[in-house]
Amino acid sequence: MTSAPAAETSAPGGGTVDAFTAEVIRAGLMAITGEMKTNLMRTAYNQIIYEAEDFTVGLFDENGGTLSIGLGLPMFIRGLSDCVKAKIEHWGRGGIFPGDVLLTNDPEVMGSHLNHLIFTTPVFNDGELVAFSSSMAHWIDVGGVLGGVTQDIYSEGLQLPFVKIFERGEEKRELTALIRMNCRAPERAMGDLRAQLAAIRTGQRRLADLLARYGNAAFRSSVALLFDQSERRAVAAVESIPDGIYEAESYMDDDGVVVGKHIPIAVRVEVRCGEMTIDLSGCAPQVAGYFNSGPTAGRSAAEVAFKFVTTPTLYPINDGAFRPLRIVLPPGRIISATKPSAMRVWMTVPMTVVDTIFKALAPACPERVLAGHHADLISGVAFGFINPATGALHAGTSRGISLPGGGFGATSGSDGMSATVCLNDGDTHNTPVEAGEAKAPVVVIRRALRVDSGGPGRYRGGLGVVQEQETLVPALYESHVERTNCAPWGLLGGRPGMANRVGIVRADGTIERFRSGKVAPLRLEAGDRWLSEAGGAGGFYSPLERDPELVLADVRAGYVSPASAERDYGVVLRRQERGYEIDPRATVELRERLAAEERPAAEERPAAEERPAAEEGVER
Amino acid sequence: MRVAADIGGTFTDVAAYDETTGEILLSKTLSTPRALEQGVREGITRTTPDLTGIDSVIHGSTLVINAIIERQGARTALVTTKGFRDVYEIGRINRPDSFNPRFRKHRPLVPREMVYELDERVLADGTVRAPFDEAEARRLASLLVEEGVEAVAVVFLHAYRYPDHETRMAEILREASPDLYVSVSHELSREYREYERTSTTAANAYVGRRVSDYLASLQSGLRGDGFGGSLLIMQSNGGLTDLQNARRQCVQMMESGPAGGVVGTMALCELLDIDSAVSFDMGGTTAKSCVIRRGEPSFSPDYFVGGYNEGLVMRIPVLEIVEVGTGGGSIAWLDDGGGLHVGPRSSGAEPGPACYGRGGLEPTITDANVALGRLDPKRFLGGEMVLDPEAARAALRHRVVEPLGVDLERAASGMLEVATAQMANAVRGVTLQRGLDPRDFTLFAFGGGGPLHAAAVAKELSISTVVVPVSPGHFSAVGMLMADLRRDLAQTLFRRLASLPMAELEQEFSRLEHEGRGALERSGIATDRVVFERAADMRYVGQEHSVTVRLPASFDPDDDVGRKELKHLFDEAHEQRYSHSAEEQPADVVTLRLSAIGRLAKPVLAEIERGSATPPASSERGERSVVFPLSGATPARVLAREALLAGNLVEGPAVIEETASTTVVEPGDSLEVDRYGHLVIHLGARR
Repeated sequence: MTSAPAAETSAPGGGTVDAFTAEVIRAGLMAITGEMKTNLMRTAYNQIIYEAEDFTVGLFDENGGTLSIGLGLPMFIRGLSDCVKAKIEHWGRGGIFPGDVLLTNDPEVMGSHLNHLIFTTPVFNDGELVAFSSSMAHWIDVGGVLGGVTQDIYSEGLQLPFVKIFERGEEKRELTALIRMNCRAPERAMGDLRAQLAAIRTGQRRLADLLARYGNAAFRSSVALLFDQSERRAVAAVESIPDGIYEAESYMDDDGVVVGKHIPIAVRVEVRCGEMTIDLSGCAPQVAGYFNSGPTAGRSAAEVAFKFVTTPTLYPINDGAFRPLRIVLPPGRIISATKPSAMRVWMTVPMTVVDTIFKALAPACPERVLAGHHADLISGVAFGFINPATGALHAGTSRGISLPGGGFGATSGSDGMSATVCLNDGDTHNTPVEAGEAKAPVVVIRRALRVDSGGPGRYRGGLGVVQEQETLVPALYESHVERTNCAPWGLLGGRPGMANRVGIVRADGTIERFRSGKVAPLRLEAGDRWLSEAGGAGGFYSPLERDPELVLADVRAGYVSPASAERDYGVVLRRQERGYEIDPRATVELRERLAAEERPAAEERPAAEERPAAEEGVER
Repeated sequence: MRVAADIGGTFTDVAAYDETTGEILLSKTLSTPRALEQGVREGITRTTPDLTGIDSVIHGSTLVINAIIERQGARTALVTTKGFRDVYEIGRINRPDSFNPRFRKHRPLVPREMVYELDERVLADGTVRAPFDEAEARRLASLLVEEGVEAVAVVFLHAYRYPDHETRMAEILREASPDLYVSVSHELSREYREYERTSTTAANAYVGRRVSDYLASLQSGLRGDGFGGSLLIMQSNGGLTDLQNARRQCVQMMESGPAGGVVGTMALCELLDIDSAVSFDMGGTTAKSCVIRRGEPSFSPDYFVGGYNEGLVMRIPVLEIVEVGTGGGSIAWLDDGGGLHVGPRSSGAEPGPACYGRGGLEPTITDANVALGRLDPKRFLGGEMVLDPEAARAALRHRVVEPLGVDLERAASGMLEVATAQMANAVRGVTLQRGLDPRDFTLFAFGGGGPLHAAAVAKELSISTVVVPVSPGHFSAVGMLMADLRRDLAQTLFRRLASLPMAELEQEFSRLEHEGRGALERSGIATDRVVFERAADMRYVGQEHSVTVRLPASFDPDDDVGRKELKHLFDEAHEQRYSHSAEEQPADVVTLRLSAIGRLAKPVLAEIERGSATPPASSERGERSVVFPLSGATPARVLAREALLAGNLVEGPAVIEETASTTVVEPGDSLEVDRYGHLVIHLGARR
């Protein structure tokens, strides 16, 4: 415990609050956003909201600053606040009234695909506009073309500018009708609309209760105190990082249009006097294919990285914790794209941006960062099954089992977690094999950890997962998996993990591989299988420093092959009657030799390949 | 005589009900982690020296949950379907601790090198794609015995639908060594979701041997003391089971202690004719809450040992209890940013709060209560322990008053405000977050700290009535006396409702009822009667999550009519839970559920002597200064609970003291003693 700075704050309205009232209000804000979250999940019509948690709810101050957000997905950390601010600017505070519901899905404002509709309602107390309650949720369909790589926003569906869908409590029915007409599943769309309204109204009511109880002045000064507390913790964390300029680069495979043309990602982080500037100007210009996202997504990537590094377990997430952060992001980059760029798969690139920021900061604050991770949802799926009798295509939600889960990066003190959703996803679950098989005409052959996919290091990267599924009827397969070329990197001598990969195993045993993870719709026959191989993650520090006993344990558990133990870790194992044991002398010798020979080139080494060459198959 | 013994982390509570006098005798002894069995026997002897007169002993224990959390189980192997060795480790891949670079996943109880695959494969519809490989199974069994494995969990894909392969594997394992503790997934759960079933079965195998041995030796120990009745085990579902079953399904005991308090609340709701109640159970480290509506508790869709973020999931029926890390021992601390927090770290039993005078230097909620005059330092635990108020004040001064620059009274009352806000969130978790309005509920306060904080928590949620039952400090054990025998069965079906014949549905339920009745009969416990409750998990076609729908005892046998009835019930349940339904959308029947309940005779609570509105002089303990939230230091009347009579009325501010608890009546609130001696507090408006 440190001695705390000023515990009391004088309220703008004259009153004072103390740390206790602030803490009670903090607990209140968290409970409200928690209730908004369960409320939305309870009432949403579509599974993406209540199963994949593709939504965010939140409370914002009168300027749009975040008071508390209930996150579904971590990458929405900034989206709501930026949108609320844009709405305030559009209407002006004087143009917003009790009972108004402000709506938009303008991608330039909210940064992601058009399926994300953001609803906001003001919270008034004593005739004063004090706060906002807002929600974003992913609608199952907002029109636009089906299948293939879109190349502009107009092909992705309905765009809504800033509109009031309720004005002083009165619904604008013509607007609702317009939205309804543009959605392929109008019932579900209207259901989700009602769910989002219910969530923001719950937030509005509960926050109004809290305001009525404590008064606007005490509430504002409590919030000011909470922001200050968060800021102090973030500043203390930044101050522990040596001043300097830190840079790193990585790349994406391609944009799905010009397959094979890499997309560079470069970041520059400057730490100076308790302030951090994340400069994303070096990221590639916006691309033709649908991998773009708006400036909010780029800023979210910076904030997610900043939160990981400074206040990873501080809740609720509020704006105070981001005060020491400056973000430089000129328009027109792949993560600050302007109209009319396509954004349907907006979520992929920002994850790699976060990883690249960690990579830049690794020499400065190794104890606060992670090595690179698999950074993709691994969405290689059978998107439609074909009725063998009629030839009709059933494109529905039953795609077999999705989301394999890949490796998470090692840290400076611990191995990375295996089989985990990527950074974009948070509390998102995979499909149980027993559930997937009951719904779709598939048989899962295996769901297994990929041996040696975790990047070697003193701390090993997490392992990725391979899922192999056989279709029982003809089907159409497509994939937009990224990061199949740029393997998840290790840090400070740690080695990369295996990259993501997809493939087809035909019924006759032939294996088809692809130049990247982008596969245009492709027909599978009954008995064909598709492989989704999620990458592992990078290791931390040189694998030659890993405790040989831990390497042995990894070999015994089958996370690491004996060959990799020797080649990557320099640990020589002898096969005994009952498993392996370490040859200590040979290990010391080998490690000395490897340290002398290989360390300079360590970071350049490609990931070890899992399958023997014969199984690699033909590249398409 | 019926006796309930509840082993908790710190204390072993015993409650004994004497049918002839209607009296409930209580004892509280320190738990003896090294010799649990002896602790139970000692506690029982304290209330009932002669064990020959006891018909049944009901037992709840933290043994199972502790063995898992402390990783003190058997050397366990897992045998599963080829291709799926990693299901247990992969889990559900979710990452709730989303921004933490050092987040942890669940840690399997069986390491990967102890997970073995067997060539066999069944599909979702129950057809066999790859037959069971007998020869390989035998080789595997002898390998496991050779490796010195003590317990084996067997989980094959779709075994909920086609259990034969698991059954055969178990036979082969038992043939290989009769000493192996073998647990197969379909015996514990016949529901789909392979990871959840694996986690449950692995845990059962992991703790099975130890728990089974403990229960057997407890039984023989009690027999040696002259006990000739039946030993019944409290389960997480709020019901009892027999020893034989408990030894096979150890994981069902997981949350037996907290279940006791909920069962007690249910019984009181029936007795007092209360439709909707919420329990508030505050102990030393946590506060827990559970909802009861129309006599029924709610059940958790998911239950995790060790918390949601990194805990192990258990697919067992568990009462839905929401817990927050706020209790009497919760410590107040300041973070690096100057933010004040209370808990979740607790001073525990050792050293305990600063006022215990056992070396604790950090201020706890109990210390704040002492500093505010809400607890009498001389009458704590009926005077068995004298508290040191100066130590409490010193801890507050050093850790809160000085760093924050506030006065002592503000520091202590501020701590209670924070604790109240947190504990109110537990109640919100089971009400508002489930779409229920807490204002419709009566709050039942028990546990050592419940009655002390109930009024404040209730006011946070605009609840108007609080009930403090008799002996709130022993309420879990008392509640166990009120439990019925219960067996919950489930069967995953995965059928489109539109093509499900009603005759088949009836047949499935009859089979489950037959099984349930058989299980209750095999227990050898005489029940008043057996009742069945039917339910089905249903969903709209395309959904993954389902809703549990309560079903009547029978349907119209005509398929069209019966399906319509069923669909209508589902639409209604969906509407209630999710605020919308889709009459035109087709539905799936995912899982059938059956609860077989063997009703046991309940203790009849004795009525206490009736008095006038004015409490008798013998209850008066004078007056002391107590600090209340809004009124500050106020002289409050102090009363002894044991001397209060039915019909007594007490206007706040007042403090009612009893052996293991203290009830605070705030200014503006009024308290009434009902005919059983329950304290019913009518709350004034919140500030």
